Amino acid sequence: MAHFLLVYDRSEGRLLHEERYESHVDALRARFVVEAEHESGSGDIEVVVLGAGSREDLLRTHARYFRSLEELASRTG
Amino acid sequence: MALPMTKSAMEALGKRLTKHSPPASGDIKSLQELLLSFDEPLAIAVNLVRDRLGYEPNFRIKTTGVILDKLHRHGGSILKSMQDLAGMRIVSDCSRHQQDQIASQLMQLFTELGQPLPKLVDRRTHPSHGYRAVHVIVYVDGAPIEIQVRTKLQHEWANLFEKLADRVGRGIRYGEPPEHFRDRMVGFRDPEMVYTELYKLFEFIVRIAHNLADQIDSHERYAPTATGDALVALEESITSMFAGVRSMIELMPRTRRGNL
Repeated sequence: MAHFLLVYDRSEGRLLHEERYESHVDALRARFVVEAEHESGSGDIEVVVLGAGSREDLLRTHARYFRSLEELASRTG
Repeated sequence: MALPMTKSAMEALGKRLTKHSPPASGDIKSLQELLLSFDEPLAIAVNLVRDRLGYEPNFRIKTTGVILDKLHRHGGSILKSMQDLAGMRIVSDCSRHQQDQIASQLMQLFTELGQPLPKLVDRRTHPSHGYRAVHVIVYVDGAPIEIQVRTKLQHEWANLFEKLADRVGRGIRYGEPPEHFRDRMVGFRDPEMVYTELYKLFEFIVRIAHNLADQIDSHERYAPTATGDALVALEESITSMFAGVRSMIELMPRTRRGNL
């Protein structure tokens, strides 16, 4: 099981930072630090920790952070 | 009891978090402690789902920004009754019937843990502004955990709509109109006209996305009984609508923070 800290810019639709942690609590504590830098993740910057069996699983279930709007609207793209 | 504070303390915290912007650092710290307390129940629930049912859920603790947004939207006292502070997601390339079966398995598994008993929230019969899925709220050591069960098509739509919300304003997820962006119409010869036309375009795209959600729902309802040409027509219709939404999105100018 892996834990991924993601910093995502909603307005740009772009992933700004990705970091992998082995411990969920460590990832959460890191999230709180990054949130503090971005005023608790308010506004356009979203700071999230996602747990998954693998990064590939994450790409499937949380594609929004990794793929463009155009790609998500394409069933073949 | 896994949670570090009583319901009334949670209610008071929620109210304080909405009182100041940004919230006081002590209140943010209390919220973080609350969120950390979900770590163990969530891990137990994830392992149960993996080991006993063989699914590979992904999971998360709700982001602080989304929690604050929800508190501002519904009132601070809602913090005590939020059931999705911790959650996991199962996406399956399955039929509507199989989706029901997965939900039943979850209900049965977590019923064995005792009180409070799990709750089923069928967002197919009660969709939330186009969003459809089956949610099962389970409890581990008294901590609620929301398990989202989505079919592949429901998931594709949800991903698309979330991303669309990033572009035109998160409020569309709650049935609000696209975000106003009049103040960003700087540098146009006729900003009012550009604003009016863009706003209409965004509203239209959101409406089409809602129609796509309805179409997916119809497909999943009738696919089990449809055969041959009828089934092919249903599937082609979904793919065409996704393509239509994509085409419109490609025409959309970016309106948020300096992207026009």
